[in-house]
Amino acid sequence: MSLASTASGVQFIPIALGTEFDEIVIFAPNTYETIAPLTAVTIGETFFSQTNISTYAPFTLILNPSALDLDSKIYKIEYDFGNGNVVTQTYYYSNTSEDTLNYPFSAEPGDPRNYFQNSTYFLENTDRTYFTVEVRIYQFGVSEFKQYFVNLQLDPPVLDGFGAELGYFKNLHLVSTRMFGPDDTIFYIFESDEPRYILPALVNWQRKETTSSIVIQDIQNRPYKLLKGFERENVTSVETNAKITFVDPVSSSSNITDLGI
Amino acid sequence: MSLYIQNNIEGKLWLRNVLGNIESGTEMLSAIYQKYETANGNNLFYSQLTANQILRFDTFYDCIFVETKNGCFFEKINIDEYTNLIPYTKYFFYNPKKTTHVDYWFDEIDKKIYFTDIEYVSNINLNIEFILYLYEFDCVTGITELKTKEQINFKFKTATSLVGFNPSFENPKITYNSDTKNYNVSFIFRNIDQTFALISIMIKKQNTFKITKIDGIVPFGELDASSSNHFSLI
Repeated sequence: MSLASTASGVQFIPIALGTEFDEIVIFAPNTYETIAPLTAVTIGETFFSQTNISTYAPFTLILNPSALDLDSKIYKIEYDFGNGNVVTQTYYYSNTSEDTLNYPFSAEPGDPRNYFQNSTYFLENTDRTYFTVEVRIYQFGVSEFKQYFVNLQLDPPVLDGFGAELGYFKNLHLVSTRMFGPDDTIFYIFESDEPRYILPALVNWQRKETTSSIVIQDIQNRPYKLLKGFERENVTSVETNAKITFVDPVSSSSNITDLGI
Repeated sequence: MSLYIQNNIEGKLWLRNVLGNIESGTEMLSAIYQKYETANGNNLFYSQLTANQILRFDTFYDCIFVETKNGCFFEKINIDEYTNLIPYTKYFFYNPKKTTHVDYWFDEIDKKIYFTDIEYVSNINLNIEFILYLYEFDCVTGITELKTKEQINFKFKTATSLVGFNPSFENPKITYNSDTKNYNVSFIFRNIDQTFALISIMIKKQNTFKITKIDGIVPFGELDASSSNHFSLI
């Protein structure tokens, strides 16, 4: 973020450039799981090796161990995704395994290589964040385990757009603003088409910050209408001191007198 | 359909008269529409009004706002002895559509409506120029006045997907803080990749309206603040 001002021209023009609104995205955990970009990493025969991935959050990593080919049978595979998510896939005996020693993969149901593991990563701030994913493969009769690493470099996603850095929201529009308080805090309401969200965000341009309590609301039924500042259900006329009752705009879709153009 | 898109789709205006009958806006507001017959050079605005091709409408006590794809007006209306809707004043102000559609704020205490508009000018060597308009419509007198016409120049040192491209400006939103007497106009503008950027313009209301602060989030550009400026065109 940079803050600069100049006397160029007739008046001062302070302009701040920042990425505060990226926080709208990162404060929405677990919301994007189904549409997060997926990357499958196949664990190969070469161990003590690494895979490097640079992309944008949220991001789902899928680890595929089916290519493992070791001398001994695999006892278990530990997946440490580096974000607190640790999964252990252990070999288990199955009655269908008549000869477990020579039972060929992948027909062996209990072979850990039959099970993909995945984890979705969200950022907790707007900084570039690194994760180290470690896979440990244990074998029967072998004391040392094999290791495999995936290095993740995740950047915050851009909010909207279709360039190289694909925007997270499609057709993000500003539909309403309200300003209040002695420090001119602004309440922005955005809506997006894909996914269909309303995104309220409190922004204070003086302090250059957003609040951390962003609430994302999924919109099921459209069209809808946002109340304007002066639209209250019961107000008193300034001129006549008489009560004025406004039609409830939310439930007025069936009212022929309010066509909602 | 999203609210944003809904506000950009034409519909037809129907009104209920004092007898309880529903008539088209073209019929009931014909005396008001008539004032705008020559307001536009090619009469396109008037043609849209008489064809009842209405984008948005609103009412504020005895004042009405009507917008078509080509422009809008605010009018104070009266009722004559034949229960016809007639204009309160002979004066009128036609606001032709510029780059964006207007947004308005109703000051219910002072009975005034403030509406704003943006006109994109140019993008030469990453110097983006646009004009901010702020009008005041008095609900008592029915008169519209231009309060602010400010040219704003953003000079970028570098910017992605912006060279030689006219950035798209979305419709601004205006709001008012009664605690500080400040107005804010915010809008989204985008580069060729449609990347999101947000601009916030603070306007102080004293004897005149003055821009006091401009903030922005422009992820695709680095601003050259020493070469950026704004100045009044009034």
